[in-house]
Amino acid sequence: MSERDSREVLRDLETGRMSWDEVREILRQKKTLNRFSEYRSALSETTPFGDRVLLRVGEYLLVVCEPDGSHAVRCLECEHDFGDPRVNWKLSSRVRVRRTLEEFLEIYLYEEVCPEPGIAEVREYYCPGCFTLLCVECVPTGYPPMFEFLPDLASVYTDILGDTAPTDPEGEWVFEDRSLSKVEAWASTTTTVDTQGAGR
Amino acid sequence: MGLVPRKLLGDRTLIEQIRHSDSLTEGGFYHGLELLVEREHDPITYERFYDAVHSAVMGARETSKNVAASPGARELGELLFALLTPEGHAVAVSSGLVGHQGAFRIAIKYMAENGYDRNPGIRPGDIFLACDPATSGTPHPGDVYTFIPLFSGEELIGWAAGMNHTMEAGGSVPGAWPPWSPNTFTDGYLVPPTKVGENYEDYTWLYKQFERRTRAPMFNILDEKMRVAGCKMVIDSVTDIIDKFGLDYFKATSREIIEETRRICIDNVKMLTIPGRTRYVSFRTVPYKGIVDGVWPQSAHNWLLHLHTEVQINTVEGKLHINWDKISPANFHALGGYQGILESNLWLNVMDAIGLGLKPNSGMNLAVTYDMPQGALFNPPSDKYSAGNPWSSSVPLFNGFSSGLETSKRARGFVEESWNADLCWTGIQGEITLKDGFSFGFCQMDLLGASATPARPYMDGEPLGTAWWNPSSDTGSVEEWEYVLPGIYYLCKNVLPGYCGHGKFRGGLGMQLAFVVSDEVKEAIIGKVGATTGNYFTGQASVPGGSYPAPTSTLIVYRGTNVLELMRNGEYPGGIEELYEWIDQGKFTHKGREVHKEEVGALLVRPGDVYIVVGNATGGWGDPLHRAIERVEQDVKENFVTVEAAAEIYGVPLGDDASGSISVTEGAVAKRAEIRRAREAASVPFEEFWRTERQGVVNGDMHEFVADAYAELKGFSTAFKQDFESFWQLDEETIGAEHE
Repeated sequence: MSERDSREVLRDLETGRMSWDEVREILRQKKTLNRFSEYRSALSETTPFGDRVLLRVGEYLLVVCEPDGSHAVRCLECEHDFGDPRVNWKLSSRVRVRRTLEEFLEIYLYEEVCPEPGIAEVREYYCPGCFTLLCVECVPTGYPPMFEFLPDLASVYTDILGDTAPTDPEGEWVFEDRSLSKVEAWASTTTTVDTQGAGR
Repeated sequence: MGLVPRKLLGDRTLIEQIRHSDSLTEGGFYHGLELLVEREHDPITYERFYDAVHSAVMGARETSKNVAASPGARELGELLFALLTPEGHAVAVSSGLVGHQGAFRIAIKYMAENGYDRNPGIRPGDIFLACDPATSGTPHPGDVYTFIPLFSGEELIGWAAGMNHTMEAGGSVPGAWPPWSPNTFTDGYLVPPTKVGENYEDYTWLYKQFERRTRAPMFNILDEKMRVAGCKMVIDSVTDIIDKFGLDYFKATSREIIEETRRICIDNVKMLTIPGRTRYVSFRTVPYKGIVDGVWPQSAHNWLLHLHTEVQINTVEGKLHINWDKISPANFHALGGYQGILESNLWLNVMDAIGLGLKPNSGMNLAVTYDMPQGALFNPPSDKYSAGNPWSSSVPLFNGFSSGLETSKRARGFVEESWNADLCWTGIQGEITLKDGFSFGFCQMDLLGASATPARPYMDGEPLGTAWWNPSSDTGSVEEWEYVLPGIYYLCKNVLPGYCGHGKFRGGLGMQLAFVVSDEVKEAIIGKVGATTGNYFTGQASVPGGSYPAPTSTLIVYRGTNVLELMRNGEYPGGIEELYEWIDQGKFTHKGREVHKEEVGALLVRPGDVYIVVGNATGGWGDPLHRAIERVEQDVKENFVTVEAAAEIYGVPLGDDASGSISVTEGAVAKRAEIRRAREAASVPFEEFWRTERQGVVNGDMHEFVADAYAELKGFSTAFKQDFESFWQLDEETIGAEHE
C-alpha cells in the first residue's frame, strides 16, 4: 500500500491528518486483498478493544468479538454496548426528534432549504454512553428507522478471514435481521403511552 | 433488396443474433466467453486494440462537439460516443455522459424486435435517431441517441452511437426535464427508434420536426449534426482499425473486452466489500394537487415517493443484487421512468462504487442484477407513463445503492475509497420571449455541469467539485450562459455559507445562483428540477458518514423588484445574505416573494423579477463536535460557516460568542460538553420514542401527504406493509382496539 507502515497510513487517513496529495497517491495504488487485516490491525491499535475488533459498521460503531465469543456493536468512543449486530443498533440508542422549523433551523440555517415541518422529522441518534452523534435520519413521521448495514459475520469469518464460523448459544450463527425481537419484547410489556412525553 | 428479410449477421437476422447472444450470456459469461483467448494469447496486441477503439470514440467526441451550438454539449461536455456490438452492448465509450452506454442496447433491441432490418432496412450510412424513453432506453426527453450501423461488406458488425443532452424537448412545460407531466403525451417530442437519414445525411423532415415540435430547433438541429459527425468519425476510425487488426480479431476481441470488464467488477466486489445487506432510502415529493387539477384530473394528487434500495452483497462470489421491493408504484406524474434510466444509473454507480482498474463498457451492467417490480416507479404498467424527469428520482434511488457499497467498503478498510454517495444536481430550464417576439426554450446547466462532492471519512466535500455522471464536465462560464440566454442576467454565482450537511467533515457547500429578468424580455417561464431537490426532506434520509444529510434545494422568486434600477446605478446584490440586508435597509424593494422547495414546471417571470436557485449541497461525515477546532476557525474566516453555526453546531465559540478570558480550545471544550448535556436532555431512550411514535401511527396522527403515501405503499408493496406493521406491532385489530 505504501512504503510507510500500512497501519500508520490508515490511522492518518482515518484521523484526517493526511494531505490530499498523499490521499491521491493511495487512491491510485492497486488495492490488495490484505487490506482488511491491515485495517483491523490499525483499529486494534487505535480503539479500546484491541484485537477483538472485527469490523466497522459506522463512524463510531464497531463490531467487536466479546470474551464469550458472541459479537456486539460497541461505541469506539466510550465502549457502550449496543448488543447483537443483527439487531438495529438504533433501537439501543438515545434519540432526539426535531419536528419544528425552529428545531430544523438549528442545523440547516436557512428556512428555505429546511425539511418541511409536519411532514418530515429529523432524528438524531446518540450513543447513550457519551452522546456522540451516531446517525441522522430525515424521514416522514412514523417511518421505521433504517437499518443501514447488516453484515454477514459468518461469511466474514469463513470467506474473508479463512477462519471458522462464529456460533451462537443456540448453535450455528445465522445471518438474519433480528431487530423485531426487541420490538416484540417492548410490545409485550405495558402499552401505556404518555403522548406528551419526551421525544415528541 | 426492398422489404426482403435480411440476414445481416451471416445466417441470422438482428433479433436472432440478440437472442443467440443473450442465450450464451445466460450461462454467466458474457456471450459465453469462458476464456479470454485473445487476451491470454497476446495481451499487448489486445491492449493496443482497445486503445485504438477507445481513441476512436474519444476523438469523435472531442472533434464533433465543435459542430454543436448548444452549450450543454460544447461547453459542459454533455455528450457521448460509443462503439457497440451488433446487439448494442458498448465495447468502448468516450468520456462525457458515460452512463448512457448502459441504455443503448434497448433501442437496438427495439429495432430488432420490430424487424427494422427488413423495413425500413439497415444499411451502411443509415442514420437512426431515438428519444422515446419507453422504446429507446433514453432516460428522459432531453436525451437524444443517434445510431449508425457499422458494416463489413454485407455483414452488420456493430454500431456507432452518439448522444447528448439537448437544450429543449418540446414538452408541456419548457425545458428538457418536464417535472409536470401526467403521461408520455405531455413529455415532449419523443421519437421511437426511427431511420432519419441515409448516406450519413439527415432527411430534411427531421429538421422540420425539430423546428415545429421543440422550442430550441437551432440547437437541436446542430446537436443532431454533431451526433452524425461523431458517429461517422467512429465508423471511419473503426473501419481503419479492422483493416489493421482483421475482422475476426475485431469481432472476437470486442466481446472479450466486455467480458473482461464484467470479471473485473466481480473481482472488485470480492476484494472491496464486506458481505451483508445494506438499506438506504430517500424521499421525494410530487405535489401536483392544486396545480394541475383542472387539466390533468388523474394527476391531481400529492405523491411522496419512497426510494428504498436494498443491496445484497455476496462477497465470496462477487455478486451484487439490488432489491427494490419497497419502492413506490408508477403513477401519473413525471418522476417515473423505464429500463433505460435504470441501466444508465446502474452503470454510473457501478463505476463509482466498484469500477477500479477496468475498461468502462457494458460489462459493468452485466455484473449486477436487480429486481424492479412490475408496476413500480421504474417499471410502469404500460408505455403510456411519463418519463419526463426521472433523473430527479432515480439519482437518489441509486444513491442508496452506492451508499450501501460505500458502507461496505469502509467496513473492509478501504477508507480512501469511501464517501457519502449523496450525489446531486440541479437544473434550471424554461422559455424566454424577447420584446421583438423571438422566443426560445432552454436548459441552464451550471449546477448540472458541476456538483458539490460528498464528505469523506477524511475530508470535507468541495463545492462544484464533480459531475459524477460526466468525467469531463464543467460548470460553464457565466458569460457563455448570458450569451445563449439573452435577457437573463446573473446577479451572483457563488457558494452559500453554511449550506451543507454539517459534520466532523462537512458536506460540500451548495451554490446560490441569482438572476434578474431584464427589460429586453417580454416575459419568461422558468422551472427548477434536480436530484438535490429533496423537496420537503433532506437529499438522502441518512448518509454513510452518519451526520446531517444535505439540505434540500430551493427556488426563491422576488416579484417586481427595483434591481434593474439599482443595476443602472452600478449596484446589485452578491447573494442571499446581501439581498436580505438590502431588504432590511429598504434598498431592495419587491412586490411579492415565493419560495419553492418542490420542483417547479413553469413560473411566469417578467422584467425586474429576481429568481434565486439554491442547490447542490452534500451531507456531512461524523459528529460535528469532533471537527478539528482549527478547521472550524478556518471555515469562519473563509465565510464558509457562520460564527453562530461554529458555536452551536460545532461547539467552537468564536468572535462575539467567545469568552475573552479563555482560549478558543478551552471555550470549545466547555461548549462541546454543554452541547452533549443538551443532547442528553433533549433525547430519550429509543424504546420511549418507539412507544410515542407508534401511538402517533396508531392514531393516524400524521400529515395527509404522509398518510396517503403509507396507504399507497402498503397497497403496492407486501414487503413494505410487512416491515411497517411488524415494526410498529400493528394489525387491524390492534389499531381498532387502541382507537377505542
